[in-house]
Amino acid sequence: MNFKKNIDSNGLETIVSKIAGVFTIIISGFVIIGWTFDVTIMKSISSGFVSMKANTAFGFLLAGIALFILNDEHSTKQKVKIAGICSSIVILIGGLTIVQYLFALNFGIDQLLFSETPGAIGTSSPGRMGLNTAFNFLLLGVVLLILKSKNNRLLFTSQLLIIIVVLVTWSTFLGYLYGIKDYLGFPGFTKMALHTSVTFIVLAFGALFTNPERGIPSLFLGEYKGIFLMRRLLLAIVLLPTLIGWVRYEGEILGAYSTTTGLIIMVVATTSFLFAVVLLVAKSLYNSEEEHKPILEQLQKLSLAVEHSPNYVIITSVQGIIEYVNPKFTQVTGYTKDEVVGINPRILKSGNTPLQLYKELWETISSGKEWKGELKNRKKNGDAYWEQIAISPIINSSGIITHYVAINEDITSRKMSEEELKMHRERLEELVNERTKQLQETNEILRTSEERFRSTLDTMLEGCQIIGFDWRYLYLNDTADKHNQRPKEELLGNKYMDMWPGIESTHIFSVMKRCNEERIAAHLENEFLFPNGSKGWFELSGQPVPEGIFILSQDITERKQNEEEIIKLNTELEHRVVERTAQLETANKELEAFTYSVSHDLRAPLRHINGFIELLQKNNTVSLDEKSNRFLNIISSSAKQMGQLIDDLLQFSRMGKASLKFSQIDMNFMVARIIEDLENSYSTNKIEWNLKTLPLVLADTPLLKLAVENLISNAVKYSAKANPPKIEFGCLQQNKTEVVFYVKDNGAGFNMQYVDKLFGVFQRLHSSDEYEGTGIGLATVRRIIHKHGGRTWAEGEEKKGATFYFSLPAGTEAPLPDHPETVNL
Amino acid sequence: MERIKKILYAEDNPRDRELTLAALDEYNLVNKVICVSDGEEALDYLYKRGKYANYEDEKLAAVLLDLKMPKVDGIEVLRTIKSDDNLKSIPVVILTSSKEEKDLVESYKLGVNAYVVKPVGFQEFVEAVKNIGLFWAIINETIE
Repeated sequence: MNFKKNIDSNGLETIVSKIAGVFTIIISGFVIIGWTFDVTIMKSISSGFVSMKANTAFGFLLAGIALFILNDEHSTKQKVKIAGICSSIVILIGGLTIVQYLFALNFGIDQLLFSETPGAIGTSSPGRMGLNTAFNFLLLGVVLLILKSKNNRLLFTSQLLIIIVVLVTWSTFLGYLYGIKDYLGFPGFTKMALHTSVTFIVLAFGALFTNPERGIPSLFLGEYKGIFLMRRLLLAIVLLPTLIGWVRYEGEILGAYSTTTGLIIMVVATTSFLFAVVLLVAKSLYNSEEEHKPILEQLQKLSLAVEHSPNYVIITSVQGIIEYVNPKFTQVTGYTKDEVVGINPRILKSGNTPLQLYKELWETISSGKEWKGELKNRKKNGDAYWEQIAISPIINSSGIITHYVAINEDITSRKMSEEELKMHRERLEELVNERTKQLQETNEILRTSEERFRSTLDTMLEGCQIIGFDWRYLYLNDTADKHNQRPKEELLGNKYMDMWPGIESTHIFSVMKRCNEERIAAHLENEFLFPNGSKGWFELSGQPVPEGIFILSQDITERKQNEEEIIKLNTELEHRVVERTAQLETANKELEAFTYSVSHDLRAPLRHINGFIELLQKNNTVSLDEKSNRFLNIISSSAKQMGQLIDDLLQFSRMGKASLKFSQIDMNFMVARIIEDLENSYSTNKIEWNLKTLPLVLADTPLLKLAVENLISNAVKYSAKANPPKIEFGCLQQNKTEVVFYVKDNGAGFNMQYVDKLFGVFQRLHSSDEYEGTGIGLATVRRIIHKHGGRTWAEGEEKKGATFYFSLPAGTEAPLPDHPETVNL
Repeated sequence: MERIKKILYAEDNPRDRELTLAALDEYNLVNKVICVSDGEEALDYLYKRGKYANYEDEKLAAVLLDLKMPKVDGIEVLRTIKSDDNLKSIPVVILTSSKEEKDLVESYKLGVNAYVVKPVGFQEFVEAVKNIGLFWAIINETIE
């Protein structure tokens, strides 16, 4: 049998034992008083019964005391010793008496206390207790000695002894019950008194119930349902056979049935009774099985759950000794079930966890609360592992902690990841700190930059405004305030259209709207009318920006005014130009008319002069003398000269107003033609021509021809006296922009001192007697060449010859157009 | 040589007229010259009206025209002649002191047959006139 604490002893049994002890003492006292005063009733209950002997009473007294002491929690060691002594004396009494009986000896102890008259009822020897009584005392004394033993085997022995005592006593009691005197004791020996037997039973039960949780009583005490039944059955088992026996005995005595019948009846009755008992027990068992089945199933289920749980489960006793571990535990820690059961989980300690934690743990769970935490433990092979533990106390229905269950999860990998994570986090924090520093630095730079821009915007001469997508003013600088003629505080945060009522119908709003919505830049000039009546022109540029639109405004009122001024001036100027042009045109027309008139009308009289002189001469060649003829010749040649002058002047003036028509001219060809033409007018036979290859030029053909004609005819004229006359026409290429031509002759030449006068109008360096001419030729040449953007100059030496130079722009380039000139004649 | 036709000569300046006739005299053409002093008279003669209403319609060898004439100038006469189907076949010679480009252009546009600038020198003038007369009156053939 396992002696386990499976019963809650509530102390009732101890009280019962104590009462038993007290009862025993009282009875014994009662009897002792009876013996002292020789009161039969007290000694024997009834006069026909055997009396309780003095030693018996004394024995009971001692036994009762011992029993009481043993059941008293407050008994000191000293008291227990006394109980021991009492018990020993009881053993002695019983033992000695037995020896007296067995060896027919008399130690004189029977009458030690009190004497008894011989021949007392049921007494073999005066004052001697019955053998059965003595036997009981012997056993009981031993029982009392070992009653409080911790040794389970001894206890069991004591309980067996008690049962023997009970059986012995019971048979005696039955004898009294059934009225069979013979059974009151061993034949020939003193019989047990009635009250002795009762007292023995009481004492026996008292002793039995001293250790209610252990041994036999434990079977019948406690809360199990079956035990209720057992107790009842026990009662039945005691009572019914007694009853059946009594029925049979009385029946036999009364002659109702014979002994054999009675025997049969008794056997049958007893069997039936026993059968009934068995049935009851069987039913009770079955019921409890039934009841237990779902519980068992549940239990199985739970047990399996625990067995196969992914977490490992440790169940410990109240003291913390391991009672159960599930297979996962073994898997994780390496310890098998057998290795750990009965041991404190302390072995798993890795030493990494502070003691404080364990203390906390115990305090928490022993106070009935759950404890959750993480521990670092050691496997069987020495490896460390992390576990997350939840320990909860298991409390029974009475509120007492019976076990602790710890459910653990191996979180090693998690812990490792956590460690890694922590490391990473630390690293990250480092990086973040670094980056934050960098950012701060950048921020500083940005801030400085922002401030720079901010202050720039703030102080710009142009107005700056930022309007958000929702048309609220986000920013205005001071210049914008000036332009708006409203302080920025009035405008900031408010909507554009709210601030300028009626603006939504204006062109400026539609432009800004387009800018804000379609995200394109806008630009316009607008005249604004202010509430105070003033007007101003502003140039607005709208630019989409991330926040909305940025409007740059410039006050262009002055500029506009200036522009108007300029337009006005321009118009005036144009008028004046038109006027002046008209004037010039008129002047030119007048000049044209004048020239025409000159050319036509002046020539007529000249013609007449010449004509009539000729006629005169023709008529009077004979009659007129030489002098007269000479006079007539002079008149004639003068007239001719005048005609020439007029022609030249006409040419000169005509050329002045003409605009150049450029074309590419082959100089070689032109010069050749000019020479050809000249050969008709002048005698050019003797002339030695030296003509170089000439390039192309870009010039006005008739004018250039005129110029070249003049130059060549001059050369011819002035070299006529040379022998032979040599005329050279060539070109010097001086640079890429112009071509320089020259006409060289070996004629009269001129004094370089007067070179400046050469190209003047009507300037001559020779008299008309020497060389005819009007003095306009070179002036004409100069005029023409200058019109082309070229230059004219000359070199000469008297009597040696002269070289006349002129330059023209190179063949592919056209010079700038000239402007209208008026001729000063 | 057939019968020499006549020349109609329009010139407002009498001295110029005299000189021209003196020149033409070299070829004995004086009889053949009908002188008028302005464009109006020239046209009157051509259309046989006014002063010349009763004149005989004679075929002309040429019309010698000065440009600068009062009333109706040479250009106008030229235009009239050349736009009249009956007259436009008559050769017209302009004899003028103007060398103006525009006069030349205008004249040729209108279909002048010859344009001669009066030389300043008398000899040349005479030569020119003689040549004109010789050519137009004698050498040149015209429609009968």
